[in-house]
Amino acid sequence: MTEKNPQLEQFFQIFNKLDKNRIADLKEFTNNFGINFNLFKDGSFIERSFPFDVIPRIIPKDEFKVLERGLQQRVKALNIFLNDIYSDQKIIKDKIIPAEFVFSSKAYRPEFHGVKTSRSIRTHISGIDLVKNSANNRWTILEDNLRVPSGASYPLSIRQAYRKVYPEIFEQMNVEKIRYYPQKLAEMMNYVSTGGINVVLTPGRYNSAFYEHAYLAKQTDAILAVGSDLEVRDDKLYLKSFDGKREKVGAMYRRLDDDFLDPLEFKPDSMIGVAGLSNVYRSGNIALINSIGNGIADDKGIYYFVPKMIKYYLNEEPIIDNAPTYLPYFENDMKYVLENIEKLVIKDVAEAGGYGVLFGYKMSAVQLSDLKEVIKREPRRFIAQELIEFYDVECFMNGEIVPRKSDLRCYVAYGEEIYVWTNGLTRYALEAGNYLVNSSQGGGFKDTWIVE
Amino acid sequence: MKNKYLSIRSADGLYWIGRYLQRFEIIAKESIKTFDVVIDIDKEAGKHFFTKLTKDINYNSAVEFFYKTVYEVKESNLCYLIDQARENATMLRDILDEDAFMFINVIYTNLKERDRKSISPKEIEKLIRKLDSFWGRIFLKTQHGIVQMLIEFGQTVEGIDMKLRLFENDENINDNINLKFDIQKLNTIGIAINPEFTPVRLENLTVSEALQKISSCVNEIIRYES
Repeated sequence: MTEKNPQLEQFFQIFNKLDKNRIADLKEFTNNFGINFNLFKDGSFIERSFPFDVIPRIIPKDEFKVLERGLQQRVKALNIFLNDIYSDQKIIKDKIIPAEFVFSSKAYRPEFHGVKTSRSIRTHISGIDLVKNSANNRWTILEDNLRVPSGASYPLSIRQAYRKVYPEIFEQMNVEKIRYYPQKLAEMMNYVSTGGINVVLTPGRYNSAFYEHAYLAKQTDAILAVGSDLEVRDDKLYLKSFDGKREKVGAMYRRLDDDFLDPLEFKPDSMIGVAGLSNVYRSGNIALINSIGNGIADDKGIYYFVPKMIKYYLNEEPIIDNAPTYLPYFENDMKYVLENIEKLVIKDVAEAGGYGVLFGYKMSAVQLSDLKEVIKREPRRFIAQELIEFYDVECFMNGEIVPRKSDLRCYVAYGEEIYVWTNGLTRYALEAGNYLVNSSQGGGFKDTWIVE
Repeated sequence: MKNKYLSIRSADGLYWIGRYLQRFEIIAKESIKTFDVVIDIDKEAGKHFFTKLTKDINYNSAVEFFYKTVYEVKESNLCYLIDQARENATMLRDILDEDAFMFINVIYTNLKERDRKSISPKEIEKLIRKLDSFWGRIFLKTQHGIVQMLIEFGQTVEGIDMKLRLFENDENINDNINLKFDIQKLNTIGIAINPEFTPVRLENLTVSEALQKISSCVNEIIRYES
């Protein structure tokens, strides 16, 4: 079922009268400026433009207002949760979340217990993935990304070109401006900085989202750095300047996972981190964006407990729904999952980016039987969710309008205030009927318009 | 902030963008001239040209000479040079002007993704004009400060290097007015970046000594060892 709203109809009334050949100008823009989301396929690096669809996802402004409040609420609770988990662990003591769920997570970093972060913020940049459920017309959160969520640069870049190519649409529709996001990021970095320059740490040129790292560094006036550009002295981090000087780094927007951040603390063979960075963080001499150990809060198993967290920490009802989720760890849920596995979506909690997602209805009897055995053996490893029939969005492909599955990643910057960006990354599957829309699975993107 | 703080890697990358693009431009222009000579004046002219760059090339026609110049001569073909420039530019997208990056990317894409057999001097002339736009973009945007100066420093070093290789011999190195002008320019930029830069002097040096001197002067600009 395709999502409709009056604002989308207004878009088509204008768009249908315009020259479709201009779409080629948008394609040329992404090619010429190298707006890439690169892929690794069969062990090879493939540099490719991020496929873009010209029809925006349009969300009415009043509908987005609800999302905005819901996302602020959720991120606030998740931030408190992280502060709690790395200090008093009251939520465990009060038996809201079973201790085992926290302590068995690979993303939990007990070695950072007691570390305080600048201004008590840990979820500086969150990417919350949502779909709109066609059964109840409500937005549903699929997952929280609190480590290194990517994607914000693509709609920012394409909007710039879109306004030049089809100005008529923006003249006639009241589309929310999105250009303030980099400014909000810069303000957030300055707010949490411990004093010094701001840096975006990239794994390098061959990362899928390298374009984004460079783009955000440029737009926020931060320095784009690789690990070897930096060094630790006396538990402080410095940029090695070309003229022989050292500049202290106060805030680092790191675009690599914890495991690669510091070879002395995590994977010793990491060539892309900075030796000694963990101790800089422990000493409170740098704001790491996002903080180390955030993975415990976006663990797929912990996702189940987020509505409970909101009630526990904020004493509020969650504004946005979770997808109906079952934890085989609990006896009743295990029974339900085993009995209904063919209609559920099974997710491996250790995987991300669309990997480790199994659709029961697509599996053979033998495969389902094998999966049941694995779930019985390793109940903490999996969650199960009802398959949500989320709305399709309309895409313009090969000269015709076709429906495709899509989700929406909303970005939330947590600085002096919790800011929800009036945009987001709408990702869509290139093939009909495919539910996996992740960029790393080869999906494309759309601009997202919040319209009065 | 970016003009003030630049990592060693970034400074080195800017320097090499200048060098690779200048090398691209000189080889492209000289190859077009040489192509014309190879047609019906001197079949061996292409070999002589690349010998000066210590590269080997074999061909049976002017068209084949040109094709190999663009795609095959080891580490000096135009496709390789623009690829190297683009790799550096990609890593420096946060500090390079967006349109400047775009010009490099368009040249690269044109050479990489085209029907290679259709390459001709006319096509390369078009790409040289794109490169002119890149230089214009860099040098007109004066607010870039150190970024501009490092690219120009690399460009000037490469210009001197190529002139020494292609046009000079040990006897006339001290007399070339163009070379003297370039050295003066190099020293001006060097001092602007680092007031303690020791001015380069090539008097009484052989070509080989001069090449060594020129290629090492970057060490006074970028403190690699630090």
